Order: sequence, then C-alpha cells, then structure tokens
Amino acid sequence: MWWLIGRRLILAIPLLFIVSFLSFALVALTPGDPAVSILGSYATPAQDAALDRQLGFDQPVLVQYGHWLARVLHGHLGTSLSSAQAVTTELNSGLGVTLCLVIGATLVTAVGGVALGTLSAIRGGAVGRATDAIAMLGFAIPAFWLGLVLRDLFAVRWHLVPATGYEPFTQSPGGWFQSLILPVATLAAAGMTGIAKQTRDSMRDTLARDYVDALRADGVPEWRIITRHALRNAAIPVVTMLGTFFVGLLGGTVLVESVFALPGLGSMAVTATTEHDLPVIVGVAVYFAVGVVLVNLLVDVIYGWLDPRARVS
Amino acid sequence: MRALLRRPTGAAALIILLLIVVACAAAPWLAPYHPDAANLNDALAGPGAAHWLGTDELGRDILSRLLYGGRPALLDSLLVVAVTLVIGVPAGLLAGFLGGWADRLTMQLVDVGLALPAMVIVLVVLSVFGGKLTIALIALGILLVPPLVRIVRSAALAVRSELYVDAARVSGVPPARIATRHVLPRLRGTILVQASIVAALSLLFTTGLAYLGFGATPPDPSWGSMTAEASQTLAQSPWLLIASGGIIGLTVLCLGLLADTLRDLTVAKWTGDQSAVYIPAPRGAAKYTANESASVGALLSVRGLTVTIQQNAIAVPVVQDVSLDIRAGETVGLVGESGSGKTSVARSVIGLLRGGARIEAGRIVFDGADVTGLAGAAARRLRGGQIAFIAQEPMAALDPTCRIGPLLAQAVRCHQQVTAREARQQVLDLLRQAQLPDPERVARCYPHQLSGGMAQRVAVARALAGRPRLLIADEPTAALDVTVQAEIIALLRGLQEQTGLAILVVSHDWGVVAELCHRAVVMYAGQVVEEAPVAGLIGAAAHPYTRLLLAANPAQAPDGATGLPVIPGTIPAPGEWPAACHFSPRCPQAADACTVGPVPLHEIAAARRSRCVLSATAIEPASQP
Repeated sequence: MWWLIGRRLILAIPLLFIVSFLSFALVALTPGDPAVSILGSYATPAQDAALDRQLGFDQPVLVQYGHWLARVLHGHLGTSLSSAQAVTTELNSGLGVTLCLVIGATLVTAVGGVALGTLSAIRGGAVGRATDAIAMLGFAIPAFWLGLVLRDLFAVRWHLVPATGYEPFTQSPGGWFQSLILPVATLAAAGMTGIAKQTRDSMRDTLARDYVDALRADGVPEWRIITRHALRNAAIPVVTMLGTFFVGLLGGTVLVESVFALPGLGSMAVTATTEHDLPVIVGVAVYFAVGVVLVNLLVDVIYGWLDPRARVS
Repeated sequence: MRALLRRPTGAAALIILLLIVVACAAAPWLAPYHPDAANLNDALAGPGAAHWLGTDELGRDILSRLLYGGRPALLDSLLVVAVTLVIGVPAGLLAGFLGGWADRLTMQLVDVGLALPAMVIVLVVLSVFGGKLTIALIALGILLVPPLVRIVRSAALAVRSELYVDAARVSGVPPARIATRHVLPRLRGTILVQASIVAALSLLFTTGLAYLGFGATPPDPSWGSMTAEASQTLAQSPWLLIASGGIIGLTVLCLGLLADTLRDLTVAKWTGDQSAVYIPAPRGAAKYTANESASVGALLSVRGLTVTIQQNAIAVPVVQDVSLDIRAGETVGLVGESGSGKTSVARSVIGLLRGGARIEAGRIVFDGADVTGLAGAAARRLRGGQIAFIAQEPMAALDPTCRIGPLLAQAVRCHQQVTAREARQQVLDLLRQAQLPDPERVARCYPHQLSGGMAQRVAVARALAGRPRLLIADEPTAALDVTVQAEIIALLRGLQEQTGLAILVVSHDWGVVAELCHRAVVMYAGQVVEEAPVAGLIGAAAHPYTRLLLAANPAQAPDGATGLPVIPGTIPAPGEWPAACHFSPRCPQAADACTVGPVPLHEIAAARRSRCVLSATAIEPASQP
C-alpha cells in the first residue's frame, strides 16, 4: 500500500516539473520584451534594461526557471500583471469555489454513475439501452451549452435558484448550496453517463465470473451478492478511470465557471488569458497539476483498499 | 465500409456527418444570405419561410451563419485530429512493436501526459502566443496524443504476438515492413475509432474555446461564438441557442455513434461474438414432463432431464433425457469427455445453468420435493443448505476482494440463525474439518494468498457450511497436481464416512471415480450411455464407449505400453448428434443395427444399464474368462 503511494509520488515529480517547465518555457518564449509590456512604450531603453535585470529576464531560460522554481518551492508564484497582487493570494481566493464545484461534481458523478450503471447491468434490456443512449447524449452535449440551458430554465424562467454568482458557505449555507446546484449538475452530467457506461460493462463482466456463481451456490441472496461482492470488484476498473475523468472535469470547470460567473480558478484562467496575465495563468496550471497529482494519489489509495492484490509487491 | 453501412445507426451517423461537412464546405453556394448581412428590422425572428432557422439579435440569418460557422469549427477539429494521429499512431505502434525501453519510456510519458489539464495548458498557450489559435490547436492535438498512444500500443502488442507476425519475423521480413504491412492494417479499425473520438473531443474543445471568446474574430460566425451570442438574447428568443448548441451536439453525437459502430465492427471481426453472460432461466418456462416417476428412497432423483441452449434462435439440446438417482450416503461418479453434458446435468440440479442454457424437460426431485427450476428464497435454501456445489476452478470460485473467514461466515449465516461470533467459530471448525493447517491464518487470508490445494480445501469447507445432504463436486481434482489430488480424494472420502453425505462427482478421470465412487454414470453427447457399480464397470464395461474411455485412461494402461489408445474422432457438437446411437460414427463395433434409430437405455443386469444394441452380447465375453 505505502509502496504504491510512494511510487505514485515519485511519478508525480516529473509531472509537476513538466507542467511548470512547459508553462515557464512558453512564457520565456513569448515574443516581445516583458519590461516593455510592463512599463509601456514611454520608458527609455535604459529603464527597460534595468527592469529586465531586476526581474531576471536577462538571464538564460534555464537559470530563470531555476529561480522561479526556488520561489515556487517557497510558495511564491509571482505577481499578477493586471492586479499587482501576489498570484497565490489571488488564486487562493478562487480555490474554495473551484474545490466545492469539483468535489461536488465528482461525488455526484461517482454515486450517480455507479448506481445507474449497476441498475443497467442488472436489469439489462430497456434500461441498458436507455443508459447507452443517455451516455451518448451526455458525451455529445457541450457542457457550456447544457449550463446555459439549465440556467435559463431553472434560474431565469422558474426562479428556483440564482442564475449566476457564488455565496460562500460561511455567509449562507443555503445560498451556497443553491449557487452550486446548477454548475455541479452541468459538470456531473457529462461525466456521470461515462462512468455509468463503464460501471455497466464492468458489472456485467463481474456478474459472469465463477465466484458470483459460487456465491449463488452458497445460497447468498442476489442483492447481497451485488452490494457486498460484485460492486466492489466491478468498481476496480471504474476507479482507475476516475483520475482521467478528473482531468476532464478540470477542463469543464473553466467553461462552467464562465457560464455561471463563479469566481473560481477557471474563470480566473479565462480572464488571465484575455489579459495576457502570464503569472496567473501559469499559477492556475500549477494548481491544477497539483490537484491531479493529489487525485491520482487518492485513486491509488482507493484502489489498494478495493483490491487486496494491489497491496502486495 | 460496407459492413458499416449495413448497421442503421452507423450508416445514419455517417450520412448526417457527411451532409453537415458538405453543407458547410459549400456554404458560399448554399447559404441563402451573407453571414454578416444584418437587418435590424427583422431581428430575433423565429423560424419562417424567409429565415428557416430564424435570425439573431442583429437580424442575421441563423442558417447561413451556421453553415459558415461550421467551417472554422470543422477545420479546427481536422487540424487537431491530424496532429494527434500523426504523432500518436507511430508512437503507439513503435512502443507496442519494439517493446523494451522504448515502450517503458513512451508509457511513462503517456502517464504524465494523461495527467495534464488540457484546457488550462491550451489557455496558457493562447495567452503566450497572443491568441494565435493555430498554435493552440496544435498544442491541443499533442495533448490528445497520450490516450491514443495507449490504445494503439496495446492493440499493436496483441497483434505482435500472433502467429502470422511471428512467421513473418522468422522468414526474415524486416521489422519496419512487418509493422507497416502486417500490423498496421490490423489496427485500421482501432485507429478509425480513435480518430472519430478525437474529432468529437476536439470539436467540443474548440467550440468551448470559441464560446469563451478564443476563436473566430467577430463578426465572423463560429458555432461556439454563436452559442455565446445566443446566451445574451436567450430571454427574448431561445432559437439561436437551440440551433447553435444543437448543431454542435448533433455533429459530436454522429462522431460518437460512428466510433461506437466502428468499435463493434472491429471487435466482431477479430474475436467473433462470444458472450458468457449469466442469464437467469425464465421462470416457469420449462415444460416438465414426468415421464418416469422418481424412485422411492433416493435422495436425489433426476428424471428425463433435457437441457437446451439457444443457438441462432434454435433450442439445441446439450443434455438429452438424462435420469439418475443418488441415495443418501452414496457417491456417484458422472463420467464423460468434455462436451458430454455432465457439467450441465450437475448445474441443472442446483439451478445454476450458464450461458443461456435452460431446462427444457424433465424433473429434479430432492428428498421427495420437486426442485426443478426453483427461484428466489426456496432456491437459496436449497443451495448450500441442502445441496452444495463445488465448481471446477477452486481459485476462480473465490471473490478476490473478500477474506476467507468472512466469506465462509456468510455462507454459514445464510443457513443458520447464529451470531457473528458463533459463525466465526463454525468457520474455524469447518476449516479444521477440511484439514487445513492453521485455520486462524487461513481465515484471515485473501484468495491470492492461498495455493491451489488450499483453495480446494477451502471450497470443501465452504460447501459444508450450510450442512448439506448432497455435495456436487465438478472436477474436484482437475486443477491440482497429483499428490494434492490424492489428498483431496482422501478428504472427500473421509468426510463421507464421517457425515454420511451423498456426493455426486463430475469427472473425466477414472482414477478419481475408482477411488471415490460406489456407482458410475457414463455420459456421451448429452446421453447416459452406461450406468453400473464401479467395481463391475472397470473390469467389464458393457458399452463400447465406456470400454474405450477406460482404455484411454493413463492409470489403466498396461505397464510398458508404448502409446495410450485414443478414441478416433471427436465428440460431436450439440446440434450435430446423430438421430440413432450418438456414438455410432466413432464406434469400432458399429453395425447396421446401430444406425436404424434411437437406442434406448436398457437394463442388462441388476443395477446395470447400457445404451447399446450390442450390450446384451457384449457383456458375455468379459464374464466368461
């Protein structure tokens, strides 16, 4: 078990390096002089050169990366070009929103998807075909479009929930919940159908195994076979998929936060991109990469808990 | 391609997709209006004769804008697909085909690549390159490479180990040529499936980017930016949103359906269609005919059992009119080659037929009660509580995620009202009874921590959990090595002497039957061909098949024999059985009388029956030494 986590941590290091270096190298490759863009066109070349020196832009890319990395390891991701705030301060203010959104969507997706997939595997026939059809629709409908439709129906026309914006949990738990329902539903819709399909296939495969027959031969009731034995075995391949699913979810938050005007990391990334605020967008990339690493760790822990064979060697 | 068009969904998806692509490509000729032609007098009109899909907030024709707007969306996706395929296919092919360090390195990179948050990376690229979409699309194409590499690699790995590739390698075909000439064509289906998926994903991605404002520059239309415009005027007119989102959804849907159909075709082409899904027998569907009455005094009485499987919508028998009895405390061997139907008989008794097989006729009476096709709670009480079943593979019968202790305790508690503590104690007793050393440790083990012999002992302990009166053991020793086999036989024999359990042993091994059984029932091609006490059978089998089967057994071969006699030919598949004697095509003694009509099972001596026209005479040479 610990071996597994250790291995994943070792694998995580190159990932963080690659994400940060890619982002950094891209920034360094940016055409134009950063000092010019900061000081504007009225500064003298001498002033530009002085600022370049001060900010370290006259050094080779690798040296710059080294300095940047050292600062990152101390918790500094630089300063936002547009707000002049520390990037970490700015991003941490949006972290809560994105975390609520992503965790909520993951929970809804996992629980709903597994339940739907199991039902479809057991009942088969019409339910199975319906799951297939819905799964295909869930894949095909763009998340931003679904978000717009849900917002129009539930918020604008029926006034059930606020259309946009976010209320922190500490201010109003009810408002917090209401502001998250639609974004979470939008995000979960796409993933849930995929997980349901995967669960269905995995469950079918599991129910055809010899040990399920052996349990029937023991006289164990069918519902108990499914809840106590089959579900756990069927979940193993589904859980390994959750890591990939989470990466997709992070992409989805960018769009969904824009649709519902949630002040999270995703909308910050979009604003930063339009404003060419590189430290902020690189910061978001680093935050997301750390998130992926943590989720992969969690997946490994769950995997080891589900499958005793994975705990050895 | 032709196969694709024969599937209605695949064909429909392909046709709609082609229509969309052609219509967008021909937008300058097809579009009724210029995409930017505004007419504020006619803003936000619904669908009508002048504007089939209505107009937007500036009075521009939505249909024309959709046709023009599809061009950037589709071209962008094409670029992404091209980048992904150009990098992903060779990389996956090389990794799978070369193996070794190239494979390991590629897979490490793939692992990292799969964890990259694509959307944000694309935003970084867009931000760095000042909104140059082409570079961002190339980056997106690269980000979609890892999953493709993984799939192409495993497909290439599978093909690489096939015989014809080996043959090509041995005959000196250069590796590059093998990869392109022999492996790549086999991967065509897989690659097409992945290309459709990548196209769908990139379409969702690029329209998403356009929605966020990183796409075609206004006023040029694109599907994503039209959705964004639609969200501004949603309150007044939902038409623009429905049309713009609908066309994205429809295109992605078609690509997805196309991928699904292609995948089905690829799978069907290379593996055939084999399903091993458990289908519960339809309740009350079997026609039970009690053509023979159950014998009085037998614990289990099977009468006229016929089991069929569905083959191309025809019910084909795998077991035909089988009758057998087991008395309390008796051990009966059910003997035959693979495919004789012996396992189906065993599984019918406990109601766990597999692969869509079902009881077509006959009756199964246990302790005087008809248990044919039982379902629900009654079936659960019977299984484990009255009749226990040990399946062929001892290891495969254990849930890999469940410790032995709880698994057996569950079986105990299914049949006895006991506390968890008492159940645990019983489990240890059962394990001890199955002669497992250190029962406490075994109870804590997961299945993968057991040896094959231990797993079989666990299976025996488990079978005893519900205190059954009949134990059915399907090939109890087939998966074990010889010394362990002897131990398991001794264990079963000891158990029977102690508890008076009746046992039905399904086996092809005469050694097991001779050691363990009082009586043997020999099956061939779905029928019982001979039934006799084991002692009388080994020396003087009445049916030619039994004689040949006995002679083909290594344990019965005379010392110094150079070769084991084999029965010429193979057992006919269900559905290809002769109407007359099933064995006649392979029988060395077949005469004209054998092919006239069905041969009945007839009594040839006390407690002996044979299904052979020659039986009455055949038994005589053996009894006259």
